[in-house]
Amino acid sequence: MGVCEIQSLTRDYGNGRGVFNLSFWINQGEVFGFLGPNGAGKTTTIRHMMGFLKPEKGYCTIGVKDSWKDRADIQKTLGYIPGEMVFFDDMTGTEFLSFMSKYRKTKSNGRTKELCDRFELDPRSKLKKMSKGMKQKVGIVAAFMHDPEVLILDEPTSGLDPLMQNRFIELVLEEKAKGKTILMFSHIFEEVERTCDRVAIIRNGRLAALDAVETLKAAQVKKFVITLENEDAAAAFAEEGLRISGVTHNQVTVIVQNNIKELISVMNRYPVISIITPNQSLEEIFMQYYGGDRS
Amino acid sequence: MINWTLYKRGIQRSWKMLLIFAAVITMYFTVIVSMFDPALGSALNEFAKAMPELMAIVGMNPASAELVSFMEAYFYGFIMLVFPMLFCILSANKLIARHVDRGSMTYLLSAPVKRETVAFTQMKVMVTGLFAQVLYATMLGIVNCEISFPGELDIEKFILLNIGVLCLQLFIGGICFLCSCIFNDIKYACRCRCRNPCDRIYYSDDGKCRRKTGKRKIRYILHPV
Repeated sequence: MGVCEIQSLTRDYGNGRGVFNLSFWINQGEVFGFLGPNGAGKTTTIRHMMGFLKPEKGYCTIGVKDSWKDRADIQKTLGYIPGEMVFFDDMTGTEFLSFMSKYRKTKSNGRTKELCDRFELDPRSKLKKMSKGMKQKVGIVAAFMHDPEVLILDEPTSGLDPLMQNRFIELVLEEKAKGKTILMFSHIFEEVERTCDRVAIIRNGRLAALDAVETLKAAQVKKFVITLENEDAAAAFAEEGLRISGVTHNQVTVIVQNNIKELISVMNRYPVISIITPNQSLEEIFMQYYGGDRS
Repeated sequence: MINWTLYKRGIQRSWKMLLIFAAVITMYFTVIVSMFDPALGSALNEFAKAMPELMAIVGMNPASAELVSFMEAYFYGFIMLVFPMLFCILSANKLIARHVDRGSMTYLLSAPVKRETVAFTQMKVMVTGLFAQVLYATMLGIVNCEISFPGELDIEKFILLNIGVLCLQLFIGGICFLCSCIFNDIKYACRCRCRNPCDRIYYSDDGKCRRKTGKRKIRYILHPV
């Protein structure tokens, strides 16, 4: 029995949009990744879990309470980063954070300063004048400051620079170590890969896969673009018996699945200039996972 | 059923608007009360008899030469109807529909606060504003009249008149607030309140004027999509 449970959740917006018969559960102290391309139904799922929407069919529970009926109760120990930061524009960051904590009636506010320091956020400027990244930081602080037990994060690192993204991932790992249950919704595999125990993939509103992150990674095929000194070397390299997906001039694209050592030993014998691992899109990972079956 | 933090914020937000309305009301009251003159009243009555339509346009339907009926005719026929109503329309919009339209309702609901509490708190902000306006007008009227024409004003009747105005404004406010809650988009919320035949006509992309047909989906704001 998990902390969060979603059972045959359905909401049909027509034209195949919405979520259909979605079921999964999340254990206490788990970081659960939820991957899906844009418009797959991620936000709709969150809205149900947050109790903003009433399920047409099925139910969501968080800590044995029903998301819709006991929303106010659940929210006491819930932290949420919305996918889109919309604040009350006339406030400054500081005012907003203190408004939120008074509004939530939280007693301790000790984390606010620590969190602001961690993200190098100066919340004293007007929210309206803040950049996307700064707004995102304010949203993160607002979600973590009351030390919630369950966290629902909707694309939490969008707008953050790589340094801050790393700090955020550290924060998530720390919270995980404290035994918090975290749900991370994202369309970037790397973000989820570094923090999550299990990952669900949603596509067109249906659950396409639910597996431990290791399993997904093992199934994942990695691509390397290797640049060699000259075209002859590249041609010879391509003959080495590795899976090659293309050769252009002095660049060879190699596909690797669980045989990275073989690639390294081959590379040792050639004049390699650089190795690039292009970021894989979610769709690619998805297609690899399903052997290209997109139906 | 009230969240004081949200209530305080609501009051802070309506403060400026209330102040402007108060200034306008003060100006009208002071100027017009000072113009009161039983003899002038009868002169205006003559005027109204001569041109009833013109006087009706500005809501001035004179009755007797008493100070209360003078006030009723010249303030409560127009100023005290229009300004609190404007306040209702603007603040009802700001308090609910705007949050939903913009998306900041997310933050109001991602806290351990019930939907009912959010709605009732916002409603109380509006009611407080209305109360403040009518109370201010009442006191202003009494003070003004007592200074300019001591003993002339029938205070009991005047207070009764103000209670009547308050009831009417609360009714209007209720309609505004209901619309603000029912519709999930500001334009629908405003449209429903300000219904007139032209509303149903709109300009399509090709520039032609068309009548709007088809059912409009009404979604409940408190179950936003």
